[in-house]
Amino acid sequence: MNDVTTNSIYIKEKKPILEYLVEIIFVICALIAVLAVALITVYIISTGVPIFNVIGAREFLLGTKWDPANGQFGIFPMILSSIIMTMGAVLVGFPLALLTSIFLTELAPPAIGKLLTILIDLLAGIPSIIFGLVGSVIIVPFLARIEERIFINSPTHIFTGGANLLSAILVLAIMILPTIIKVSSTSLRAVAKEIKSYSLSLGATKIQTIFKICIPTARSGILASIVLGIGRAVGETMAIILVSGNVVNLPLPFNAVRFLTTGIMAEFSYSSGIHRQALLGIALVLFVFIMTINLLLHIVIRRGAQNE
Amino acid sequence: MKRFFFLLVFALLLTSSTKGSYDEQVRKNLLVGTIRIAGSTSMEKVTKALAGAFTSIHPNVNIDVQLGGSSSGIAQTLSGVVDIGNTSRELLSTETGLHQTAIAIDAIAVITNKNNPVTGLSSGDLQDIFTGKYNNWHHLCDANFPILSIGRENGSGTRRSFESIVLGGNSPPLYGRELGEAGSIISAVANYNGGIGYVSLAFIDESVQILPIDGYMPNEYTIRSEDYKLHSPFIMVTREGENRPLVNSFLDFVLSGAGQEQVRKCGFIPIR
Repeated sequence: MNDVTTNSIYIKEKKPILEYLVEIIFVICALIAVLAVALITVYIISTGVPIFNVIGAREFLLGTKWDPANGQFGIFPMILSSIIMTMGAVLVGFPLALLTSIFLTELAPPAIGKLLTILIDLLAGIPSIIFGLVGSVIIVPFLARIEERIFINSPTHIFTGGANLLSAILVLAIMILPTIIKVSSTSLRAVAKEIKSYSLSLGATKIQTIFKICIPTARSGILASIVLGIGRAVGETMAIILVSGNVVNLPLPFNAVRFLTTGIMAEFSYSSGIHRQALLGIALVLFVFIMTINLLLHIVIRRGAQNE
Repeated sequence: MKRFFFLLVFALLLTSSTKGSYDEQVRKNLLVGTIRIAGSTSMEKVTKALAGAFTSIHPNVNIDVQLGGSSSGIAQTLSGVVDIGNTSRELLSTETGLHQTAIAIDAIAVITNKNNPVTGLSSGDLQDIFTGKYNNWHHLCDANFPILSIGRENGSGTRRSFESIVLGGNSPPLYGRELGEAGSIISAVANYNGGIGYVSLAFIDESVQILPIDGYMPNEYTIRSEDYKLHSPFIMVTREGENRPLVNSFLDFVLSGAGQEQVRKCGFIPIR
């Protein structure tokens, strides 16, 4: 008996060393991720700040003329385009995604639900360049025809051939569907069965229960899904550079536009000197955008947790 | 000893018969080193052809051709990152301290869709199209369909040359689309009836039509006679006051008959 206890103690003493070792490995792995974030932050800030000193924050952020050849670096149209594009994509995509996730969680027969989930996962895994190519083959020519219909007699409209803000919004709206559907259906699924049963037993219909009980209960999760969708939309580049026309303009639906992301992409390899500094400044602005969105997500999730 | 002598003669015969004379051998191996070139994407094709021809004469020379656009090529030459900067536009007044070697002339062709009934434009028409004054082809022919004006991105030498010749630098251009490469512009024009764009003549294929400007088609004759105004120079810049034999002999080769033959083969107009 005594032997056994000493033995087990002996083993216990030996185990912690191994555990510590494994723990250290875990910590190192975590540190690498933290280090990457820290490095990116330091790089973006150190390379992005100089332009603010060279031409001034006001001129840079609120200037409306982007003409690097003549030393004009106003990125306000790009900021505005990015915001409008993101809002548009969420406005188009969110209702679609919410109704899809309600169908998935509450209404779909199991077999169809499973198939739908597989297809949505597939949609999430498609590389963004594919979305861009498909958009440029299907959506762009379609919008070109609509544009011609609307503006054919306009003496001033600059035709875009269908590559404009609207195309970008439509492509993005489809791209953010999987993100929103996944997160909001998870939170809809988490709504307690009892609450739904109470509602149904009090005589509410299934649809009434969904809109009056399930959605309000899953509110914070659904909000989080919107914020995640926004994050996905703001950072998108490859898909929308092919369908947005890429001209610095104010974001009207049938204007060719340039976003923060595509602005960097289009000109970085052609830039040097102050032009390159300005593009790195755009990267900093984009970084601040993403940080703000992440902070917002954090707040939304925390509030949701407090309410429960 | 006799056998050794025999072998030596045999070896000499062998080398001389397969690899040319001793003189040639020396000349081939005299130049050693790397030339770094960066800049204009329009000049990629011709630079690579010239580099290939040069290194086949001088096998110990390595030529590294990078892209990045004219402005970047000039900046990289000034900062010493590369030995030669390629630019397809004239230098700006701010870009000083560089020695220029014009190596070729690049005709800029104005292209439209094959379905477009317009058969020619004047410089004034071009200005009105690319400043957004005309947005419909009915200004220029009987058909009523929209104009999609397509330009290159900022930093492109072709764009800078085109704008300074056509717009005179006074009025800003208004494009319906901006694209990064000549190839993308050609396919965009081929895919949209109302499309119009400008690209280097050397890149054009059968999918689009070239318009005469002020009655002249772009070719060597009309450009040399200054009848066709849309062209940009291909210039190789080096740092002023620097004298590297390797770089100099490459530039000498570019301007030689053999070098200019490569220029012509690539579809550009020789400087001489």
